[in-house]
This record gives sequence, structure tokens and C-alpha cells, in this order.
Amino acid sequence: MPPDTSRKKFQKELNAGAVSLVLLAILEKQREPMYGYEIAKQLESLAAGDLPMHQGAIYPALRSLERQGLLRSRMIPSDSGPPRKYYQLTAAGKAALADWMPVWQRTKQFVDLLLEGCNERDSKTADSKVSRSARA
Amino acid sequence: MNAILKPPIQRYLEALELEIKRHSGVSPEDALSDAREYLQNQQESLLRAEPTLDDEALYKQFVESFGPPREVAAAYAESTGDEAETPLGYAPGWRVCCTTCGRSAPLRKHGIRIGAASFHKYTLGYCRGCRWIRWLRVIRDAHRANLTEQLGTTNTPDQVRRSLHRPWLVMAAIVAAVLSTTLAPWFFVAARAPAVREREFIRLVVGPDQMTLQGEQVTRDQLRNRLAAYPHRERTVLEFAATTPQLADIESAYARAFRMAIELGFEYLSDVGVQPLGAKGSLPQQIEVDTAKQEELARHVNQVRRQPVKDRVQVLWLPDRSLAVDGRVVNDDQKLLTVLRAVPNRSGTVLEVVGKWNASGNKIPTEFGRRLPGPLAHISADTALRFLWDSVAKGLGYKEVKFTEWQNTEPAAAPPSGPAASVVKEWLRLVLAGKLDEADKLTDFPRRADATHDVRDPKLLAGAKLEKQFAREQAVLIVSDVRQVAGKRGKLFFLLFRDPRRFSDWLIREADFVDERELEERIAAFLAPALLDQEVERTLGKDKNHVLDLESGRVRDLTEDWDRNVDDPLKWLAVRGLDIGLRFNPNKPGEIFGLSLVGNVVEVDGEAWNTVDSRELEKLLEGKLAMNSVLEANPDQLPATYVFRTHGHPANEPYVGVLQILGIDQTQQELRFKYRLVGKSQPVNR
Repeated sequence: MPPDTSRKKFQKELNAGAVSLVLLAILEKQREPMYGYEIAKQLESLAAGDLPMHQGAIYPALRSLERQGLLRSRMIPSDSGPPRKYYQLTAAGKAALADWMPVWQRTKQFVDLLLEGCNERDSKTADSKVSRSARA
Repeated sequence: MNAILKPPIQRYLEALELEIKRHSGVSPEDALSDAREYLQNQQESLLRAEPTLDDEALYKQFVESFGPPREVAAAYAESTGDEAETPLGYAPGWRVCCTTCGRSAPLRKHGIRIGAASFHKYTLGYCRGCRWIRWLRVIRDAHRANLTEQLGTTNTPDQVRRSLHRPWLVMAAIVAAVLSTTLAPWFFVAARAPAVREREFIRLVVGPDQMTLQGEQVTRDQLRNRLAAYPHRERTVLEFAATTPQLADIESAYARAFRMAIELGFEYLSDVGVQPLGAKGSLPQQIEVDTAKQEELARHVNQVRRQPVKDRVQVLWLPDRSLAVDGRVVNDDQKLLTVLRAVPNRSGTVLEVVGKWNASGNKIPTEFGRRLPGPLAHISADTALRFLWDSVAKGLGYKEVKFTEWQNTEPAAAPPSGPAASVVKEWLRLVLAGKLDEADKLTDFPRRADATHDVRDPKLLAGAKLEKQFAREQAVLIVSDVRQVAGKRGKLFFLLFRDPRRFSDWLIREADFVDERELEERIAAFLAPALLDQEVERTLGKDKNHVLDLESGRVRDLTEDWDRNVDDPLKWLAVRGLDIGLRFNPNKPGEIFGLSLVGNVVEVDGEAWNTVDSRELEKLLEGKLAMNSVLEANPDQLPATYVFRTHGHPANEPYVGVLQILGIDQTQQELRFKYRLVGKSQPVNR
């Protein structure tokens, strides 16, 4: 499998769970209804232009959360374009956010813990490869 | 307004739509709506930052930021938990989608569909998105980006689904098409088939202080609404009945019911005689005739057959001049006319009139003959009324009138004979000239004691417009506009005598529906003086004892059968109709003696032989008394002319005429003369 494809697949799998948490978090943070593009731009801004997912992935996640009852939506016509679908956290959504945050924290700490050791070894290995090639 | 999408957006959405339709569990409308929202906003943002950005660059930006259509479609599919692709069957281009939530799946997941053509196909099925039974649409648009176009720039997913999926309308259209296809032949046949009508009967029974409609008590104020509530009035007969024949104001009640029946559209009003309160209408049946009246009828009718009351009104004209309608006495002609008017389809109905008194003296069983087709029968007491009924029936539009002679066994019932026809003609001439007083003085028409029916009532003419009416004790002359009566041109001219049957008969023959000019001619001929018959020349001889019957022209020789022992020879001659004899007096040659020549013999100028007419003859003889006249002619002043009136025979009326003595033979004692009579003389050879 090419490295790029592998990375995309990993990113996709990683995003699959994280996007929902991100969406709940941003809606909780804003405390007011937001429509899809607004959420996407907000995330893009927070990511400083390096959003780790396609913004197209936000919309199916929003609908999935809505189907689960964590969000509710309302379609409002727009003067400048197509009608916008505004999403808002439900009580269940807030409870889910509170429930998911410790899960994310534990996962994140665990992954970080593992990745810290990997990073040190990887850097040493890389240095040795460079010196060997230089000698050659 | 649904503006056209920008090309880069449309390109992206179409690509996304095709990808979405390849996946299961996704609503393409929702996904496209989401993408549209993003792309529209993104495009504005990008163009604000860099207005010169071309479509291709925009599209690349879309893919970079929003994601490739395939990935976005996959993300939607994953979010629903369905497999991205499930190539189980073979149905290229087909998908199935929920008409409510839009959840879509390729049809190949559910089966195989090859080479089928379809416009709209719906089926009931379970939708995992709705989690309920929904109409699912099988649609062949997986290869087309039709939803992008439907969505446009402003439509919501729900709007797109509503515009695409109208299963109920389609079902209704299918049902309507099926029904129209299957039922159209039936309607066609039903429309051409004759309507099957079954008459219904409801009965109104009127009592002195209450009434019932079809068995239920009803007030006068409620009656109209109760009648109006009946369906199928056009084939419903309203029956009218009274609780007693002597009910006061029954005629006006009948008239009100009649008007209501017409106004509310009932088929017709039927008089069903005397019925108890609460009686209900039913199919045609025998009626019960009031017992007392039945006995009365039985005295005049040997056998009164009970007739079905429906479609038939039996009218008996009783000797006391009262009318019996279905056994109930009615003393009002207007009521009878109302009954006649209430009969439907009169133009196809024969009004059967049965004459009760024909007074022939012959014994004929007084029994109704076989009924002619038609609802009515009427027994008329005299000929004048027969004629009246004739006019009434025509005025009411009946098809025709058939008179059935029903002769009475009592000769005494025959009315007395009236004055001579010539007198009647003169009377009529005076009436037509408006000289009513003179007409009254002319003669006294004999009247029957029971002739009380007033034929002058204009109502009896069934609404005919009277142009002229001369009402007198004896008769009424009516010239009626035929157009008012029978819709024909011309005038109806008839004279109704109160009673003299004989002259009524004669006038009935004169009266008819004729052209106006023809009528005038007929009236002129009717009023014109009668012409004299052809002349008859005879010679009487004294030796032969000749006597003459002027009417027949027969000469009789008295030497053969003269009975010299008769007490009154002149009466003997008169009884035998002999009018003239001859006597020769040596001093007065040429003397003719008349045997009771009525009206006397008047000598007139010789020119009268050629110029006199019946009217002048009557005038010349007016006031003259009957006596045994003698015509004395001077042989030197011949011819001598005379007018005369015969005494008449027992079976004939007197005749008037003119006689002229032509010559006298003194030697042979013979006298030659000629004469002419007015009407009906039939001379025979000597």
C-alpha cells in the first residue's frame, strides 16, 4: 500500500470518531446554532488552515449526530443562497460531550504516551541512517 | 426562484450525486443539499479573495476543501452504517428510494431488473431510515444527475422529494384510469338503455281536522316541505284521498294538492277517493266505493265494475246531475276538470265518454262495455254535455274522444223534441246578429225539468278564450279561439243548448275544428235561406175525387177507399197527410180547397214564383192561423200564385211552399197547377 494511501486511510479512521467529538465541542463552545459551512470555517480557523479532514466529512457527521438525537436542526432560508441547516446541541448531545471528553482524554494520553517513546527512537534511528550514508 | 447553479458547483454536485446513488442508506437529496450549502458559500469566499479564479480552479478548490465526491459519498454511506457498495443483483441504473426520507439504495441490492421500462413504480416496503412502512419508489436515475437539477439553488430536500414522489396522485390517476376503462362501457350501455322506472305512490289523506301523508300526521304548513323531501318525485304519484265524501272544502284542498304536485315535480296527482286517515300509497289496487253511493250507483248501473284506481278516474253522471268520481259525489265541474288536467300524458290518452241516455227505447243491458285504453271514463247524461266533453277533452289535449253509447232502458228518459229546425236556424241568425230580444221572442225552447247544468260556465272550456258569448236561458253560443284550445288555427264554433238534445245533435255536426274561412262559409250556408225544391206539376179532376199529398206529390183517388161513414172527413184526410182537393162550383170555377193547410193560403204576386225564398215564405205566413183554406182562382187572371204551410204529418214537420194555378178546364172539370216546397219534399210519380 502506498504511504500516502495508508496515511489517508489512517486519517480517515482517526477522523471517524474524532469528528463527532469536535462537532459537539464546537457547538457547545459557540452556544448558538451553527450551519455546516459556518462550522467548517470555524474548524478551519481553529486549525490554522490545516484541518486534518475534508470539510465534506463534517456534514455526514452532523446528520449522523442528528439521527442519534445529539443534535437538532432547523432549515432556514437564506437571502443570499441556498437554505441553511442550523444545528444545535440537544441535552443528550451535551451529556454525550461530557461523557466522551474523558474517553478522548484517556485515549489521547495513552496514545501520546506511546508516541513519545517512538519519537525518540525514531530520531536516533534516523541519525544513524544519515551517518551511515554519509560514510558510504 | 430557483436560479441555475454555477458550473463548478453543478459539476461537483453532479459528480457527488452519481457517487451517492451508488451507495446504500444515503439520501442523495440531503447530501447534495449539504454540499450545495458549502460550495455556494465557499465559492463566494474564494471569489471575494480572488475574483479572477476560473471554474477549473474553483472546482479544484472544492475538491481540496470539501473532499472528492467519491470520498464525501463514502463518508455519508459510512455515517449510515450501510455498506458502501453491495453488488448483489443486476439492475443497472435503477435504485430504490423512500419517498418520505429520501433514503436510497441501488436496486441491485434487492434483485435483478433487466430490460424493463418504467415511468413511475411504487411499492410498499420497510424504510430503515424512517423505521416504518413507506412507499418506496423504484426509479431509473442512477446514471443521471437529475436531483442536482431538481435541487437547484434554493430548493430544500423535502421540496425535491415532494416534487419527485407523488405516489398518492399516481395511485389516484391509476385508479381513475382503471375505473374509467372498466366502467366506461357500462356507462355507455347504461346511458343508452331505457331508464327502468318504477312508480312509487304516496298518499295524502285529508280529514275534517287533520291529515296524514303516507301514514304520518302532517299539518298544512308542513305539507310542502314533507312532500319536497321525497326523492324520485318525477316517478312518484301523489294520491289524494278524503276521509269522507261530504268533506267541506274538499275541492280547494284537492286544488292545493294538485298545485303542489305540479310545482314539486310529482308525476301526477291521483284521486283515490275515500280513504281512512293513515292510509298509505301502494301499488294499483281495487278501491272500495262508499257503500251508500255504491247502492245508488247500482240502481243505475247493473254492474259497476271496480276499476283500478291508478291511471283511471271513473266519472259517473247521475240522473240527479251530480257527478260521481270514483264513488265520491262531486257537485263541482271545476273539480272534475281538475281531475282531467291531472292526468299525465293526455296527448296519448283516449278520453272515453259513455253516453248514458240515448233513449232509443230498446232494451240494451246497461253495462259498461270493454274499456278502451285510457285512464278516463265519463258517463254523460245528454248530448249537449257529450259535446261539451268533446270540447273539454280537446282543450285539455287528449288524444281523442271516444263515445260509447250506453243506452238507457227507460224510454221516458228521452227528452222532448224541440222546435223546428227552421226556427232554430232563424233563432241562431238573430243571435249571431245580436238581436237577442227578438231571438227570445221567436220561440220557447222546451226544457227538460232536470236540465240544470249550466253550460255557460267558461271554466268548462278548459281555459279557452271566449271571443263571443251569448248567454240566454236556452243556449250559449261560443266562438272560441282554436289556437287556445287545440293549438290549431281557426276557430271553434259551437252552440250549446241547455237541453234540446235534437238540436244539439244537429249543431254538433256543424261544429268542428275548421279553417276560419271555411267556418265563415259554413256559417253563411247555415244561415242562408233554404232553397225551394224543384217544381211539381199536377192535375186534379173533380170526377175522380182527387186529393193530393203535397209533401210526397202523391195523388189519391178517394172513390176507391173513401169511407162515407166517417164522422169527420176532413180529419180523416188530414191524418193521412192529404193537403189539397178540388171543388168545382158553377159560380166559382177553379176552386181548390186546402185541407187544414197550416198558416193559411196567401195570394201573392206572380213574380213570387221565381223570387220567393224560405225566409220570405216564413215572413208571409207569420201570424197566420191554420184553417181549411180555399183557393179561388179567376180563370181570366191566371196564373194565380199562393204561399202556404202544410199541416204536416205526424212524423214530419210542416212544410212551406208556393203554389201556382196554371189552368182551369171547365168542361172537363179539371185544374192544373204546380207547386214548390222548401226542403225535403220527395215527389213521386202519380
